Amino acid sequence: MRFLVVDDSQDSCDLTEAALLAAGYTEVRTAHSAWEAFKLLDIGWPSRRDGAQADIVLLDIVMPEVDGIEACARIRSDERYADVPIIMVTSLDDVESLGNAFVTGATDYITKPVNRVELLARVRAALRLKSELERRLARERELLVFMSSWGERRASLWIDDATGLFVGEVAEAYLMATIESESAAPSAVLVLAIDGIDAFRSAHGETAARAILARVAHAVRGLAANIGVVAAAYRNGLILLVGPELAAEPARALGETLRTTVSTLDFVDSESIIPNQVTASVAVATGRIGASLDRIYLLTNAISNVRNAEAAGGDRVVAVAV
Amino acid sequence: MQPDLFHDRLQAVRQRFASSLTGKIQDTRSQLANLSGGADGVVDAVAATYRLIHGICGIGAAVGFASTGRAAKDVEDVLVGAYREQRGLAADELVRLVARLDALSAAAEVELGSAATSSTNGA
Repeated sequence: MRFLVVDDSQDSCDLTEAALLAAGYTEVRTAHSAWEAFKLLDIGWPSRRDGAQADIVLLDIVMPEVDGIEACARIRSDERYADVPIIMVTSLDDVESLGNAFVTGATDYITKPVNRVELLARVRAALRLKSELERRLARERELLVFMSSWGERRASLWIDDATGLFVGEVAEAYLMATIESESAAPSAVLVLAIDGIDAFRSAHGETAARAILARVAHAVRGLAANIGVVAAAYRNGLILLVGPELAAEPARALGETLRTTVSTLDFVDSESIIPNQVTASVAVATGRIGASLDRIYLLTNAISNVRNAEAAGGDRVVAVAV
Repeated sequence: MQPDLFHDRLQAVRQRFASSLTGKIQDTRSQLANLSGGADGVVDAVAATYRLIHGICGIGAAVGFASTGRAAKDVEDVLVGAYREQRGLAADELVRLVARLDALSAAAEVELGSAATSSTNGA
């Protein structure tokens, strides 16, 4: 534990230093002015060594030129000493100065003439406080790191990095959760496939295919958000939309809007291998979820139909009321 | 450092305090003419005197000069107002200062005598 005792009185410095050394503290430095203290603490000096140069400071209030209060404020203003205990050494009746000292960030005070037992008690209390503060700060930092990495892990699990949409499993979970009870209103599942994306991926690579997917997904995300439909993407490029209580006709209209939107997307880029126009097939499956209709059936039906639509030439909407 | 070494240090500081005490009081007396009025350097003289007396207050009791420390505190009380307000002493403050310096000298004389006696007996 590194001490700095600041007092313009050589006698006071000597006694305080001796009391600390006798108590078993081995690193005690003394300064006889605030300027000398600033130098030892590396405050306002060009070297700017890393970290605090003392773990606790005992600071006399009455000193020439820069007094203890001003020195305390100056020390505290250096971020390296923001949490370092500063114990003011003062006359018993110097209440006004003491008040100012606490305003400038003093941790505690001890009165002159300094009683050795009291000095050590105050020092130990301040160091305990510092230790507790450091322990809490360390714990907060650990928690922050954990939360941060946990958040990143969660995000990477939920979001498809190619499209920025939820991963398909999230939409499936949403499908399960939002249609829990038998509902009088039909629900809709829409699946969109970019026509020929697998062949394009084989010919031009994953990066080029992802660029198309990202562009389409961006357009889908905007449409879905406007009508409260959850959109997600599967790793194979299929885009899934779940619309609870979305009737057959509005669902079909949404499917048509999706198809049209994709076909009108502008992919023109002279430097790119991406084709000028991309088309999409959309399958819409609607039905009332109940004892006779499984929600997963809606999903598998839509996926199956979108593959059929793509195989049939693509750029079309297939709507099935189950 | 072992506790015994603390007492060694205390002894050294005590001797230093004792040997410089009379000189400090005399220095204060020699400054009396400079502590009042509006001349240049009055504020600095008050500040220097205040700090000198403050030093006696701060260490006196710790090194076995309790009465001297208390008497120095009385002197400090006269000086502290002018020190904080950065001015010279008023006439009435100067009168009180002289009286309290006398009391300080008396207390110091007694305790220095006791210290010398105990030192001699100890030897």
